[in-house]
Amino acid sequence: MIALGYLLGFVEGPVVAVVGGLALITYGRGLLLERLPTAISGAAVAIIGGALGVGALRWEALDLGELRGVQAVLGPTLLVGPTQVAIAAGIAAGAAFLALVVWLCAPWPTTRAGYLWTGVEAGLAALAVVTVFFDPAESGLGGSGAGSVTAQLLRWAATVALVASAAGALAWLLSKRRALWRVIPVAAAGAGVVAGAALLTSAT
Amino acid sequence: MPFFISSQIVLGLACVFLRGLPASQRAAGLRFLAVLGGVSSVVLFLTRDVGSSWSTMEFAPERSGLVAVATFCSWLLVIATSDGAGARWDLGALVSAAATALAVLASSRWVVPVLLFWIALSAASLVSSWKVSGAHLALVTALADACFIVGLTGHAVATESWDLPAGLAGEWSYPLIAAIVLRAGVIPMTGLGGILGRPEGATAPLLVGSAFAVTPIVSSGDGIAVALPLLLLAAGAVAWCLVTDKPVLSVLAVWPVAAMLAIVWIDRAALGKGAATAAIAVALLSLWPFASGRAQSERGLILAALPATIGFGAIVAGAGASFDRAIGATSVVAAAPWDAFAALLPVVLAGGVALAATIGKRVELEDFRPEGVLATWALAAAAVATGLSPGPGLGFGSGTGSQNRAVWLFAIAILVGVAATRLAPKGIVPLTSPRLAPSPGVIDLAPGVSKLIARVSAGVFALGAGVVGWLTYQGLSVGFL
Repeated sequence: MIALGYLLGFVEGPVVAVVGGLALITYGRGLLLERLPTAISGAAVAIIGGALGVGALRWEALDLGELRGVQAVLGPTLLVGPTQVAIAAGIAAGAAFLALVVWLCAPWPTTRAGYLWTGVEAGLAALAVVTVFFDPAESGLGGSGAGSVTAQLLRWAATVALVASAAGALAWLLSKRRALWRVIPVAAAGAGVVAGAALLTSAT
Repeated sequence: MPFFISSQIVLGLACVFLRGLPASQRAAGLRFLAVLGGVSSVVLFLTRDVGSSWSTMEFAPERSGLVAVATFCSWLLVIATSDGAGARWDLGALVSAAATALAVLASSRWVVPVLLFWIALSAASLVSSWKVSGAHLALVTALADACFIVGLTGHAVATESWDLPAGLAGEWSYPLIAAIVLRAGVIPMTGLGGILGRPEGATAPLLVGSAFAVTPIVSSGDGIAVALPLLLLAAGAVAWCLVTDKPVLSVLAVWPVAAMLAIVWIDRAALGKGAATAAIAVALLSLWPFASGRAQSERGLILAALPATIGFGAIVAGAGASFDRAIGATSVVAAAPWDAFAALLPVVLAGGVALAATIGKRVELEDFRPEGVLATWALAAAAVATGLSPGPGLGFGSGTGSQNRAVWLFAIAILVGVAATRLAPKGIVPLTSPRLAPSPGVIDLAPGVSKLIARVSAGVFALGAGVVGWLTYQGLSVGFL
């Protein structure tokens, strides 16, 4: 609820508040896991937080409203140059996605309610990643026609659903493996965040 | 604040009069006085933004909030750890003395009162703990006091001024930094850790609070050279506890205290939040053996500084400050430490979450006192209440966006969370064999070493008192006033 409140703009605030919401979810999930999967889950949320930070660093703004605003004017973080900066953002976004996959795969649900709740959590985390890296609102919703607004909202929802389902599908595959297998994507994602941050810093 | 100081003095005197009463009346009297002490802290917290000055003291809201939270935690520990005979009636008197000392040193604008009450707080803590576990505390407190006296006296003499410095840099700042770091309890396996998990731990939140209260003397909000190693230390403590899976109180305490001290060092506005978080965390850890097997998820939630506790406000403030400094730096070299801090903060937060989850799901022997469990819940409520509290210095007023909406959002989220715990299907927690609550985990000291420490620390206190007297004489004769 906390993360959603900030992501949907009910409360204006920094992207850190969203990371806090994700951390709270991680705490709840961690209560159901053994030590190693809990640690991996913690590492995954740290990487998601770091990647969102790289996205924020690209625009030099932590505030979610500013991040949405600047993307509404200039375009999604991933697609706005210079090339080196866009690549850095792309690497960070990829790392965030990879970490999201690992974050989702434990504990993997076993009941219908569990699947539903995991879907909500996946959608929420995907919304955070999309908001920072690929907010498709081209010019904001105000002042546009009804058709344009509907199209934008649908595109936004579709992007979030796509990211969430892709992460969910990969998480399902990963959940079949032993916990140690999850270390590999987490390490790769961690390296990605560091690389993205270094690339971004050297470019600016 | 004058009301608070007076009330603490009266409570302390009343605790002394308990000595002659029969055991059952003494125990009941101690608990009653401790409740009054807690109530006076709550009153101070609620009136913290009144803002006033009295004599040489200035009562800034975040300082008053810091004093209120630390004192509340200490009185709560007195209630939870006192036995049925009221044998530790002295703890009540010493906590009230220490709380008074903290209130004065946190508010004073002059060097001499700060020195005097810093030493008084040390003495109260050591007297309360010496018979049982005081050697570790004495060792670190004596070192911290020596550093503090040298730094502050040196500066006062060099500048021929009694005014308390702010954002001090240069040679006299180094011993002061060392004093704060030692006093806060961020050295694992010794110092403050020695009294955690015992009744004597009642003074621990006040000691931690005192370290935070004097950080503005040497920190002007740009002390990344101190903040980054502290954050690394916090990360190290989390990693050690996660890897070994044998958490001990003296190492666990390093994690929230070092992280909060690091944040306060780069953002002076986070002083109230950081200090309150550290005091609550230390109190919570000290309570753990008294609430073994109960209130575990609440304990984890607070230690991890998750929303909507006060600790999360501090994390947000630290992230914002380091981010702003990183983007404002003019060169890569200047930005690097701020980048590192900003990058390390989510790592510490997430590592803390993982550790808190392992703490939250520990299968522990249910060896608890009802008062200990109630006090843990009271601390959880305090962490959330201070986190959501409106007003300056504490709460979500800065950093998490529009205050009213944020408070509503967090409040609704808490209600939904509580409802969800009732409605949600029970998960399967991995079973492990039951464990005992963590021990303080300090290094064993030989009796000879303990004696030596006692003598050295007594010497330091005598020397400290002498220096304060000399400084007072110098000030009056030279005309500092």
